[in-house]
Amino acid sequence: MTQDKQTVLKILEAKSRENAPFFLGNADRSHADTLLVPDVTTLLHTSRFASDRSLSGLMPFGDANALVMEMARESLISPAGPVLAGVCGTDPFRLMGKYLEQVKETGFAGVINFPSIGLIDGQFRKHLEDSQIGYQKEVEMIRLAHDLGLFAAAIVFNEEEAQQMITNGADLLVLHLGMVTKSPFGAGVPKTLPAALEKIEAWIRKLRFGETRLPVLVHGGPVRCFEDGIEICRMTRCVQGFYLI
Amino acid sequence: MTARQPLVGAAVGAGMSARSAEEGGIDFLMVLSAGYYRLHHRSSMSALLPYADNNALTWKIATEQILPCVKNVPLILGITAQDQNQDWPVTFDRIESYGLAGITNFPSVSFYDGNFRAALEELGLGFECEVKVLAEAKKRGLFTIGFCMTADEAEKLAGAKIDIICLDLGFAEWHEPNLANHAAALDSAIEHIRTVTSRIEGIRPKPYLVVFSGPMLLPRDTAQVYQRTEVLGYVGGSTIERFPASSVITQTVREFKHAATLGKVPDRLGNMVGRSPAMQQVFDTIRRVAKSNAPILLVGESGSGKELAAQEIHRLSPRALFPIVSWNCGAITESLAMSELFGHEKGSFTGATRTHIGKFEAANRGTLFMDEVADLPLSVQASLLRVLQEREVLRVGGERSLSVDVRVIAASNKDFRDQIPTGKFRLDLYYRLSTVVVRIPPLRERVEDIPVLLQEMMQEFGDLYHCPIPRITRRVMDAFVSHHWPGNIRELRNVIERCFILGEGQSLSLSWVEEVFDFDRSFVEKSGAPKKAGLSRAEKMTQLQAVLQRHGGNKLAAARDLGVSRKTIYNWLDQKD
Repeated sequence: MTQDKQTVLKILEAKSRENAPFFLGNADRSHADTLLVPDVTTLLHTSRFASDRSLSGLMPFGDANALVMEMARESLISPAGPVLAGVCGTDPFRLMGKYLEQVKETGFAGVINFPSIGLIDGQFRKHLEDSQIGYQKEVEMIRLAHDLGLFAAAIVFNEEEAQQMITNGADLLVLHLGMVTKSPFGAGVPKTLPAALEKIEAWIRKLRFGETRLPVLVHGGPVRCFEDGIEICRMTRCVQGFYLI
Repeated sequence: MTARQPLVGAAVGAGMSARSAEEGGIDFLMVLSAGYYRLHHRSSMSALLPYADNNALTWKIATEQILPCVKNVPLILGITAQDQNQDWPVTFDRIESYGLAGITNFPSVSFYDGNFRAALEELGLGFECEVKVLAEAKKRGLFTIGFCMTADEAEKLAGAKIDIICLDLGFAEWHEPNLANHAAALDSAIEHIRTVTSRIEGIRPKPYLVVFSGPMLLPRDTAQVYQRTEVLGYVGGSTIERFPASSVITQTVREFKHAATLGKVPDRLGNMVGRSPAMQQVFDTIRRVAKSNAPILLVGESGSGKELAAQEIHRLSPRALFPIVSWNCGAITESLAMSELFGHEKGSFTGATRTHIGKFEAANRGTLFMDEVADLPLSVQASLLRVLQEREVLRVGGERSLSVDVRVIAASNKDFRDQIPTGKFRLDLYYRLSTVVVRIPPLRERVEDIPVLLQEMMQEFGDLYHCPIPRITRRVMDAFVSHHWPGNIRELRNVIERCFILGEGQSLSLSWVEEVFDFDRSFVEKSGAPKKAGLSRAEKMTQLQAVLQRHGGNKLAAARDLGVSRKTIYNWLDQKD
């Protein structure tokens, strides 16, 4: 599992040259209905849990950061390509810089801010933000990862967060279109791919990328499977790929 | 729970806190990961996030830290019901075998709202899952406490016959201790409690409802809740578990336990302290009479605080800018009394080398407090009556009367019903002095004031002697409450001051307190001070038998009840034989 940031960047460049969608996928995609192997893999602590990946990732079922490292050491899931560690950026018990050094030493090519506090909304989210358990911690984690030379993939939930991640050294953005279970939750969650497209394009237009335009992937909302991912990439040049957990 | 004893639980994260809470009289302890995070200076909300395996964490805290530190208090384990890696039947067996009392669904998804909560519910990771696990635990014979935040959730818990519904009003850290906002938050919490109560009141068996944390940051906040709602009790987290002082936890638990007696009413009037209905009535009377000029007669046992009451009346009166002069009428000769009260002219008698201003003149435009007025010699009573009627004083040896504007507050520990028929006190003077009679209750009639009086005095003597405040165990507090207090507040002050002077150390031991009480009782009996005397021997025996029967033959308890020492009880029993 020893790959570095450059490997990820090369894969992204190659995909861009071929005009092919970039597929970021989880190491144990139990729901995978295709034999396609992700271009880059994420290793998430939720592989240990039986229930839904996105949501259970935020539940107190385990120490997310410890579990990821444990799984990496056990090599139970050992993909061939580069692997990004799902890092819980709000973890109040870790010196994030030190932890990320361990992540790098373990052989991860980079990180992704998973689980992300961005999934939590409502009054409780407000209380979390007030208690310094906010999204800003994840932005800080991405900055530290960037400084350490790790590939930094940032899951973002709105334009403001996307802009913060760009400014703080993210190498790739994953636009989270909203939680999807049997039905999409929330008024802002697009229910169809065309609706998603509209949202994505409006979103991208507002972002200031600077000298280099970052690759943008989509996740959630109506993008539920590999085919959905391929389709959305075919529909717009705003996104370069998709992420499936 | 009785009207005076709410059910109080504490959510703790450390053994030391558990021990202190038990000592303070906590009814049950909840082992919640929130306590662990708090202990590590992290937000309690961390308990809801993926920083630890909550079920493993609470189990470890409960078995390794809390269980070894507590003796009898029931422990309730906080569990994450949604954890699908958990084998609940095995967990329940383990809980039972370790002697834990039961479980509670903390952390609960009830804290979440919005789309995230909706998604959890749809995926089966919602509140229903928690109710299901609680119901399973109850079926297995475990005690269950159901956390919830809304009326819907409370209804679900009540429907599942969960033993206690714990209405969570939010983490304490969500509430700023800002006075204006705090009052509004408390009102809103009370409104919410009422809504929940009305929703579940029809469900049978009638669910027990306690409230958790929220804006109830202090015992007086819970007192308001008890007054205005029907909740059974309170569970506190950070409001109880305060570091680093364990004595603070003990004291805080005690205050929460006594909160039902606090009421909305203020617990003091100036320097007078008391939350009891008896004292509240006294405060009310004082407030009402203070503004008038009417003479006031304060009656009450020695040491019950009559002088303090007089000072408060003066302080609240329009005369407050002028002096209050206190004078004790007891054990004083007639001539000295005349001279002291009305003054004398130079040369009016042997030894009168200069003119002396009397108490009436000194108190002009203010208040004269005459303590032990029943002991005033009869001839002086006549002069006093004249002064009160004519509002003029004539100094001893003087020729010219001087106008005085004085409000008289008299006080006595004697019963005028005895003094007047025997001719020791003039009836006309009694009427003149007693336009308003205020009875100051003895301490034994307002034992609910003892904790707050203790707190006040401990603080006062702690500051005076530069000593730490000693801890008071539940047993010692019980001893204080059940003591007869023949010397009233004065005696209580004496005991507390003695404790500081003798350096009783970090805590008042029960044996030391018993010894002090026994010694004081025997002294009081010998001195003939107020006691339950005056009974014939037969009456005494009948009373003794009844009291002994009530206390199952326990002579110490009977002695406390009768306000005598154990030794006296044995003497009486010997006489009986």
